[in-house]
Amino acid sequence: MIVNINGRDLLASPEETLLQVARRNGIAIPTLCEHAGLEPWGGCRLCVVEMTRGTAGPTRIVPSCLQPAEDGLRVETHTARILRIRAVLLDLLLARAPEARRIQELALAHGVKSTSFVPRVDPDKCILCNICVRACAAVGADALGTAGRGAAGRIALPFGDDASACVGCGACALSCPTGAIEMTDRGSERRIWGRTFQRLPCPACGAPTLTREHAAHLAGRSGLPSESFGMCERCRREQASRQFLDLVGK
Amino acid sequence: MTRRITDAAHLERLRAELQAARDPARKAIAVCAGTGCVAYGSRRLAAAFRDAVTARKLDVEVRATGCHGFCERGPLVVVFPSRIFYQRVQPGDVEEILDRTVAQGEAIDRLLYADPTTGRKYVHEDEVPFYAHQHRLILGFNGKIDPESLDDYIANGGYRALARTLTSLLPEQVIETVTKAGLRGRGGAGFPTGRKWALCRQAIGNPKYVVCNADEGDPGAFMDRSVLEGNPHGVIEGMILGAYAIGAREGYVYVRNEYPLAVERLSLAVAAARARGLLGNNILGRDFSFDIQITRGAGAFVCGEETALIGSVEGNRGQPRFRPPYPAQSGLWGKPTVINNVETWANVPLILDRGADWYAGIGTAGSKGTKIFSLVGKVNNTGLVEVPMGATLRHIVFEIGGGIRDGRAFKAVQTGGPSGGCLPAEKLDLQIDFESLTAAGSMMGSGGMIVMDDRTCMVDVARYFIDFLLEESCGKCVPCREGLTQLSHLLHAITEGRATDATLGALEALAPVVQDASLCALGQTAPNPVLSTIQYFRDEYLAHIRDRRCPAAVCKSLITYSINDQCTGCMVCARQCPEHAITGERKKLHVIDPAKCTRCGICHSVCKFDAVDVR
Amino acid sequence: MNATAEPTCDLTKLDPILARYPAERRSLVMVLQDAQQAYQYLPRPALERIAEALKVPRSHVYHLATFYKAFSLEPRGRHICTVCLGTACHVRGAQRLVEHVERRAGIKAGATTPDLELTLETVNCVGACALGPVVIVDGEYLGSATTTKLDTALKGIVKGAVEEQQA
Repeated sequence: MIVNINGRDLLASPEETLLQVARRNGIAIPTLCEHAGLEPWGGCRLCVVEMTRGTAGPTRIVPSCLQPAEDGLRVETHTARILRIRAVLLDLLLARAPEARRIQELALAHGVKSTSFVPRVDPDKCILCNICVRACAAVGADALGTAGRGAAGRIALPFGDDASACVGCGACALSCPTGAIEMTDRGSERRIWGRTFQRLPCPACGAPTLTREHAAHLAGRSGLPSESFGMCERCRREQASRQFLDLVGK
Repeated sequence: MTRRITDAAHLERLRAELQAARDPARKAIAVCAGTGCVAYGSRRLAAAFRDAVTARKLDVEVRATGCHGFCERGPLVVVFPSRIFYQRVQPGDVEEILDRTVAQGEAIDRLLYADPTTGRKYVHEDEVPFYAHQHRLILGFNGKIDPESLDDYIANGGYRALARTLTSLLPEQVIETVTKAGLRGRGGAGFPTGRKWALCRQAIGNPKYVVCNADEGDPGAFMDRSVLEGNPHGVIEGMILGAYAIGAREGYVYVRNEYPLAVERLSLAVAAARARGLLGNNILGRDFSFDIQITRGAGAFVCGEETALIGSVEGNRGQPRFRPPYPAQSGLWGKPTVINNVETWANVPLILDRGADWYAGIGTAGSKGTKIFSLVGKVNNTGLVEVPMGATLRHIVFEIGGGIRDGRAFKAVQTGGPSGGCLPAEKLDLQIDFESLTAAGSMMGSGGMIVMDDRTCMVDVARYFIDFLLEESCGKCVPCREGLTQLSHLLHAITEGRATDATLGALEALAPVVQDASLCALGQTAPNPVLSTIQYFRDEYLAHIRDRRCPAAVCKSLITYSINDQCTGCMVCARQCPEHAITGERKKLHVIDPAKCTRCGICHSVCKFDAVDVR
Repeated sequence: MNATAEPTCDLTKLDPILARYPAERRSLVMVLQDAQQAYQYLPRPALERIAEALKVPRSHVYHLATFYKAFSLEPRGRHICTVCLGTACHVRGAQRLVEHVERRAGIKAGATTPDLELTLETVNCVGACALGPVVIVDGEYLGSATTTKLDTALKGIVKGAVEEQQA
């Protein structure tokens, strides 16, 4: 099928979203709540585009991360209206999380140097994009969620203090776009969500890799023994290349 | 009788029997037992009637019915067969009613409704202007039947549409009939019902579901509650017909948690229908099975949005999802689902019973049938009003509503709840239908109609709606969550006397972004009350901003309370003042100290001499 | 976090509730509603047990319970006073009624008095708009409510109500 984006006719498949088609063709659309490996969320609304069906249909504003490609769609990704929306959204987010670096960068790129709105009292860096919650669910730990509703919502453990489901994988902290989740690694000790974990040493080089709980969790999900997961990234690659060399007889 | 009804012929025989057994000349007393009248003590009143009738060994039926609609004048009583209509009835009136009205057909003057302007009294229910100007297709059942009696519903024509449909119509023909009738959703969006059903019937997926959205959350709207409490079978029959049309075996009714009586009546009705074979396997002996489960909301306005509702039924937080896919294609548990509002479902049996042409003959070109409105606020006759689409606002507010209470001036009428807008006096001749309301800057919404007078501050109304939506926002998307937060800050600045012209500019700049970028209708329509009040009442905003004045004398930071010379020195206000801000001796003029006064309004409400001024 | 000590939770109250519904996610809201009714709020141990029984993560149960206003994770008062803040009640001065009870009871709306006698709540429309402003005290609807009527209804529950009247 053909989707027209910014005046260019582009090939698209029915399983693709407008965002995927755009990206594949070098058209950059900003996003915040989107993350590889996670289902699109559609919460930040930065990726909105103008969409018209056929030549005479009404123009709708839709999130490109969720809108499926359809034959004959005409899409505009950077009209004045869209740019204005993005600028205001970032202005709003700056009021919510003024110290969040990524927000400051994106805002500046859209002409917003500081917020024109009333800043949040005692702000943290969280923009409630929900990536951490979704990542934790994808890992299978389901340790995090949003407590409360609306503007009063905050990412929290159950009851505020129950970290028993956390496996210390760090997916939340590493995927957070604003660095709002604190995780400290000191030697083999990892502290996150008020809990201290021990990271297992790599059997090859001894560097700390994943936590004992994370390894056990992966073992449970995969049916493989937990030792399968203990090797660090670098050693695993070295092992794989050695095996390859053995294979080709060098 | 709880024998299963085996087929359509059996149902008609039963209907004939029930109708024959009901002597239209039989004496009966209908006591309204809707939530409003119950709050006024109507259950005690009904009990008093029953006790008196038993004690006197009279052959008089005492029937507790659903909401009659004229809630302002509750407790309401209608005496049959004369249909004499009494309002504000107390248990102390029971004996006299039995002596004079029931025994001798004589009307008791003091209990009759009197027009507040002319003083003229009306004796019979259909003469009372509040009812005479209505077209009560759906609400009409409420006064006639005991909502806890399936027999009453059958005797009044109930389930006839179902019997005829199952025996002589194909599902596609049901959809054709509903489409031809022009029924549009009554929950707010006004989507053509027939088209939604057709899409769902064509969609691939099994099982399919029908859902009744009874999460009536618009503050000031209680139409759905009254329909569920007053005629639950009307909704059930509609859902069975819908399920037949799309090919569903299971249905859900999602009822607001705050409506315990509606849940109770619906549960009883579902159980009764099941016991008689109108729900369950092989309904009326046909190869069609369908059953209904009742599920309750848990206090989230956003769950009135269909995708959030679906999330809630599935056991999740009520957060909306992007559409497409639409629920008709992928709804509950990813299966094709038809979700319709209570009032929409209640219209369906009428359409199938009397025909599409009959229905399409009521209303306007684009909006067919009747609409139930909850007429509340500063109007004399508050209550539920059912009129054909195309009736004017003036007709509803003045002819049915009896005009503004306390002789004050009309200022605005708010339609569509938090998604709608405020319409001023110049719009009173607007003929109500989906398109005309939207064109004027408001919308139909679910049917809330809130009348405002010169003592309502329109800026305060805008602030109220934004604060309401801010609290109810699910929080998923930035424009709604953060946008409403900031709209609230801006409106508070205006009502608290801290604003400048730039504040108004900021409001007007932010509002369209919230409309454009929000994920669901809650956020998309949230700016409507703000934008419509700025459009029609800009001067009021400017008075707050430039003059630091609230013309309606509502916004606390901008008003002062003072005592005028009508004060008799009774000292009641001084005693009640929580800040001890009033001084004065007995029989001497009292004084309010403005430094201590917090504008709580207690002195104004307790003064019997109109001696407290608010400016 | 709630500082008041919670009495030990009788988990057997959950047994009939859990037996009533299929042990899966879709039963969650209904189970929580029945539990809220049985305990007058949702104690932590009960929520943990429900998560286990319905085979959903604790985070899901907790975050769902905090999303819906019908659920309270803190113990509520022996008496509940609910002021309707729907539009019709609002234009008839409902906000003043809330402030009145807040003053009398010494708590903010949404809170419970320290002696666990009274919980003051607001709700966005109970559908009795013709009677506005509406206040519900222990399930009894008070139509056309005034500060005086409220004082009478709350007599004995809120000490402030009685004292102020006699001043």
